Amino acid sequence: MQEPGTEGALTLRRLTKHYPGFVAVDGIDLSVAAGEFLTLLGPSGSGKTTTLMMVAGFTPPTSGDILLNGRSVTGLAPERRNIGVVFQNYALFPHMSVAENVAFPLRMRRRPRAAIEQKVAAALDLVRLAGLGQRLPRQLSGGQQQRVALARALVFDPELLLMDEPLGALDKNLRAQMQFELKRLHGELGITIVYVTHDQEEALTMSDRVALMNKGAIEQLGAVEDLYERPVNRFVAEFLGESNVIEGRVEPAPDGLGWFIAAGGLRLPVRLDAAGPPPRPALLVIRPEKLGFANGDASGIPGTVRELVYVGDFTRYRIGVEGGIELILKAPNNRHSRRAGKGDTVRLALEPGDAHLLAG
Amino acid sequence: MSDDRLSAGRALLWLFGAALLVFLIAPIIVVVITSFNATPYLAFPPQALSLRWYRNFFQSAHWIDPALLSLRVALVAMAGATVLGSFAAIGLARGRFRGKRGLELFLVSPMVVPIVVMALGLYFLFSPLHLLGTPAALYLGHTVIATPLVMVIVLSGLRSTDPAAELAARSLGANYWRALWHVLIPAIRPAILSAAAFAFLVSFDEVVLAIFLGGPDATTLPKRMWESIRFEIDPTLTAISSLLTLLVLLILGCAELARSLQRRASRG
Ligand SMILES: Nc1ncnc2c1ncn2[C@@H]1O[C@H](COP(=O)(O)OP(=O)(O)O)[C@@H](O)[C@H]1O
Ligand SMILES: [Mg+2]
Repeated sequence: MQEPGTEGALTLRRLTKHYPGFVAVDGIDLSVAAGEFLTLLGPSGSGKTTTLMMVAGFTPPTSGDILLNGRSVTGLAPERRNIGVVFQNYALFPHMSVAENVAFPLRMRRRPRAAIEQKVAAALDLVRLAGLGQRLPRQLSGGQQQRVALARALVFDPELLLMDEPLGALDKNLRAQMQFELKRLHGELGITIVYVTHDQEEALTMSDRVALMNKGAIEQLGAVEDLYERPVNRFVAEFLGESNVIEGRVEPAPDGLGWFIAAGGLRLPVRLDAAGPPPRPALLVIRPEKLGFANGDASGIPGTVRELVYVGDFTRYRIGVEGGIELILKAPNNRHSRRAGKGDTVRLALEPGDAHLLAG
Repeated sequence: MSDDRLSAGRALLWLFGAALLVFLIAPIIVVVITSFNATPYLAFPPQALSLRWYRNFFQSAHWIDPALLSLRVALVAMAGATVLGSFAAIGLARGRFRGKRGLELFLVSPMVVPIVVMALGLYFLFSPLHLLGTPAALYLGHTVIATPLVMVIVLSGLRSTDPAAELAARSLGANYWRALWHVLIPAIRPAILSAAAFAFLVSFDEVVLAIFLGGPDATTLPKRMWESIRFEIDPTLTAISSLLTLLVLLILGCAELARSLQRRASRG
């Protein structure tokens, strides 16, 4: 991972956007490597679109700098940035045919007619719309319109492709198919992509790295696995996937192990970071799928099954344990995993390395 | 019982509608029929049919000169109002600035200020500029009253467009003006065309400003008609009225056609 300030395809330095009485983007530092697929993920209102609009040049930043391949584009008009943008509602030109839409950026660049025709055909081929060039946008399905928007944003070989929730308007199946197509295009073209979504599943399946945003700032930036397995704070832990987050303190024990003691007295084994003293107060994050039912009767955390829901590939249990705490446990529905019924007394197994400690 | 009352109410409504229609349309029909009369005075029903009053309109300078001036004024006002009103609408729809709502109210105010007040105001404004009695006074005056109309129609056309399309055009390499020309204006072209048609009609029909600002030299067709009604009723008036009605129908028909085309285009 590059440090902010070094040359990436796109570098943001302390990028900030203030609206009257409101900070939409709060000093973001970010560096996107050439050819990377980076996703800005975050709840609605976290500043994702504003960040993208500043990079595209539609919204002037209050302060900070935007560098594209090392050159500052902060004051540059959008048409001079050479950045492709794909909008959620496609933003096709309704009065132009598909081919005219795709030809538009080349016409604006005054390319020769023959070159335009050839590039448009190639771009339509790339998004698998060959033969539909003469149609009008409204004669296409939503998925096809999105492909036209993509072809139009790629045909002029932009230095960067920005996409703001491009699949938000599509139904689930089509969305999965388009995700796959986008990954294929990214692989084939090697283009740098900054992608915005509030859908964590989409972010997980598509991205090289994810920047998780909240209230105009990046809470954590890293590979998907980093964010999921090693969240840096409670927001990240709770936003990505499901988490059991317990408040308490840490009691060190020998061999790098220790006990996490929850407010109600519940004791859980944890592995301690060798680097520094354990945080206090502390939070313990346990992913539901890391918990399991213990084999023996003597060991493990005693609890009672309050509720269970069968969800197809796994069963989700709500288990009451000591100190009035409830833990969520997800057990895969295969022959190896143990089951329990409602009201059963159970014991939960937890590997010390599978629980993640945070500063409280 | 309630069924009875309902149908009685409905019958009353129909009757009211029919009466309204008769009172609106009957005078027009009477005028049109009268215009084909051959006698040198007004008579209904006509005793003999002829086109003499139509011929009289096209052949006498007394009528055709004001008609040509009206045409010229209406074309200039249409051009001026369409350009100004469309840009004002685009600015109001797309711009982000303080006092936008207030500016919009200010810009539509010529539509709600009584026309006599407008006329008087323009009279006092144009008098020191030595514009009174010149066609320029009418060009300007009619542009002023037609501009808000254009603005309102184009604003409503803009409401059905997607602002992201202009942003897309910018990101694809079009500067502001090219995005306007290649993307925004084509999207609202039908609204602009129908606004232009209304601007033309507003000017062509207008008599109050024409009286206040035109003086004796710049006489438009409505003003000449008004003057002629004051002394004697020349049957040529009925021919002109019929022609004006036809013109209005033609222009409104074109505007409606443009609108329905736009509606069909904006539908998915
Ligand atoms: N033009 C604007 N004026 C005032 N506030 C705005 C404006 N644009 C966006 N905001 C605010 O900035 C915040 C971030 O918006 P946005 O970047 O669209 O979030 P996201 O895309 O993550 O949902 C929101 O709370 C929004 O209300
Ligand atoms: Mg958004």
